[in-house]
Amino acid sequence: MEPKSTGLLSGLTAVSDLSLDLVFELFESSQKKLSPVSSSKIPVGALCFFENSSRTKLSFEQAGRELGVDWIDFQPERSSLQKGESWRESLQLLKIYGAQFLVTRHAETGFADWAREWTELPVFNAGDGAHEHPTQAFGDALCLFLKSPKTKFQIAFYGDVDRSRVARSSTQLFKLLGHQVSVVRDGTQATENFSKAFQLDLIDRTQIKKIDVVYALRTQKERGGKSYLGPLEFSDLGEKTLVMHAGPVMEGEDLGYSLCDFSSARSLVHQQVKSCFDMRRALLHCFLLGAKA
Amino acid sequence: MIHFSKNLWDRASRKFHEGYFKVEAGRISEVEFKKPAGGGAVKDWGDLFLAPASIDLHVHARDFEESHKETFETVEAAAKKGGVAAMACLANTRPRLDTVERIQEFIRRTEDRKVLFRPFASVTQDLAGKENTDWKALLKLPIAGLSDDGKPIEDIDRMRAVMLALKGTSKLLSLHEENLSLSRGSCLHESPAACRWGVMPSPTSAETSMVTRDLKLAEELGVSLHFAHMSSKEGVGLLAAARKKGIKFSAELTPHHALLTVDEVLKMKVEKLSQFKVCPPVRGAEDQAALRIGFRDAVLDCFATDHAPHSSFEKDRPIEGAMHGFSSIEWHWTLANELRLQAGLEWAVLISAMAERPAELLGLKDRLGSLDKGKDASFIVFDPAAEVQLQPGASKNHNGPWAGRRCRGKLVATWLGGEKVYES
Repeated sequence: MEPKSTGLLSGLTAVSDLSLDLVFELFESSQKKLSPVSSSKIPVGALCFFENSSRTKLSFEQAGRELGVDWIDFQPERSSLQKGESWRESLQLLKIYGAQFLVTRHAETGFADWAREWTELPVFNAGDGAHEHPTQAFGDALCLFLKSPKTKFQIAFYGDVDRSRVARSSTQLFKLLGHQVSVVRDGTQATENFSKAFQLDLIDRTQIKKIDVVYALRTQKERGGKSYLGPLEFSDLGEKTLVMHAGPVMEGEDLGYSLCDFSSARSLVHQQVKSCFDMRRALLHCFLLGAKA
Repeated sequence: MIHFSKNLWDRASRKFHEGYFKVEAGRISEVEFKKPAGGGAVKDWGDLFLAPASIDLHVHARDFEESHKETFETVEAAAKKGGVAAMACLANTRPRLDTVERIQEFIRRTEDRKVLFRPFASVTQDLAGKENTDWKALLKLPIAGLSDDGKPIEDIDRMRAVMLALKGTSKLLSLHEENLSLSRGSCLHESPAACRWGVMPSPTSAETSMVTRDLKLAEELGVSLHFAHMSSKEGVGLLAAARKKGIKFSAELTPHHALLTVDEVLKMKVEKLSQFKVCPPVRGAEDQAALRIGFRDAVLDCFATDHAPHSSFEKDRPIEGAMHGFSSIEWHWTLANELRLQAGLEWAVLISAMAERPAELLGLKDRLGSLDKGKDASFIVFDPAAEVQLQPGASKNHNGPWAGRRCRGKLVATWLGGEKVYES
């Protein structure tokens, strides 16, 4: 059975855009071989990354390629934005050139929603400031689902939650899926506010040992992020604690070198890369089915 | 013409009483708190309230190269709709009001209007915080005072110098108290609500650190200051303590800091966040409660809108890059009345903060601020119980959270200098 496509007709800008039923259907389809959606017209998407990216951009690009998407790769640093053109105008041009949907990443909260408003095109949010990174969250959730489909994990976020869009999106989705989410206190108002904003337990670093999964976050220096806890170390973990990180990992800063063997059984870092790719492909497939219909 | 009402503001008793005033040549020639005797044209306003038109000490009038935001014509229309007789206009126009010539041009273009425009000149050239403007020459002009509003005066030596330049004058030094290293763009108040959206938060210390410094300087130099748009519990606490110590100052409460809290953003769509962006940001419920108490106690003694119109190109975008500020002057009295009702304030608090005290601060006491004999017949006709939905239309833009809201208090008509200039 193919997933219902109605939830993705206007793209995806926040984790709350999708119903839980659809999320589980996408989990299922992500593990299948997905073929290009047959259509008389080649789907054209535009990759609009106003911030640097490796994993998210490449995975969208490759997933789309496998599904027959023809990409316009908009490169802001070489575009007329450098001459003073507005983002709105740049995105509207892409529509005129035939883009049927956009994948956007930008430093400002709400950019994906505004891109949708400005262009009236479906938009996939590949990160907007410290607000949301929904496809990362779905990939992270898939990673845990594949690890143990029925387990409700105890998950703790560690590090720069204040400036992290990954933490915001994944927190919301993990809670929806029934996992128990907490945040490791760093002594600042930021972790206090984060725990209140998302109604999470605030735990001390020493309590990580009792946690199933610790999700370490990169210090978002480009957004004024700060690290007050220092790197997560192997000695912080309990006997079975797993480690997640959305990448890129700042080795020795986010994760101590003792945790930088990403092929180890305790690390989910490379599995996250794979599950995020699978989920983006499943999301695009579901969207293209809907667009075709 | 005689204006009669069962609710005419009586400055002496600080209440509304039945009474009338007579208007001749645009001025009030007679005031009595009784029914008028026969003879002459009488406008009977029934139960409607007659009060002095307000004076707004914080208006960004724009015009010049920013006529897409507002023009002198549209801001005047908005002021009339808001029941405003006079307004102090900030210097962050483009080009800035930073030279004698620009102030003179501002005055030339606004002097024949029904609403009185009184410009501020900037403290520094281009509000850049580097080179001082010619304070001595500017202070000889009919200006409200000096202000770099929109930006703080960061340099303590400059602050000390400008305070001394103003000492002994009747002009205002209006201060935008924002420590830029703490406010970091001043998008939303540091709170769980701001954290929910991932927007860089602005803590109250961005305000209090500057207020602390400037109160200390004011005490040291014996100079009076004007604190614009106070936003925090801690900030108003500092001012309350300073008042007790006898430090001289005046201070503004804005409608948005008085009536809104940051928690409103939790109900918003992310695209609407920019409409809530203002500097300083709207803060939490505790801040709001403290501001209301400070207003009741006249620690914050002026109710000023900080009217800041922007076009949709500048406001309808992601919050981080959107302009600060709300368009609000056309609801000056309605928003004030809503505050009065929500906070259980006496009318006297409102009329003091909207008319009497601002008139005194702008040196307009001989003309405006009350309905005494000899003053301009500049007054509002107001229905405080009527429920209204705030409809924009007078200002060129209606950026901000107000349009469409339901409030209590309908401005029925505005009369300036004995002439009806607005009727709803």
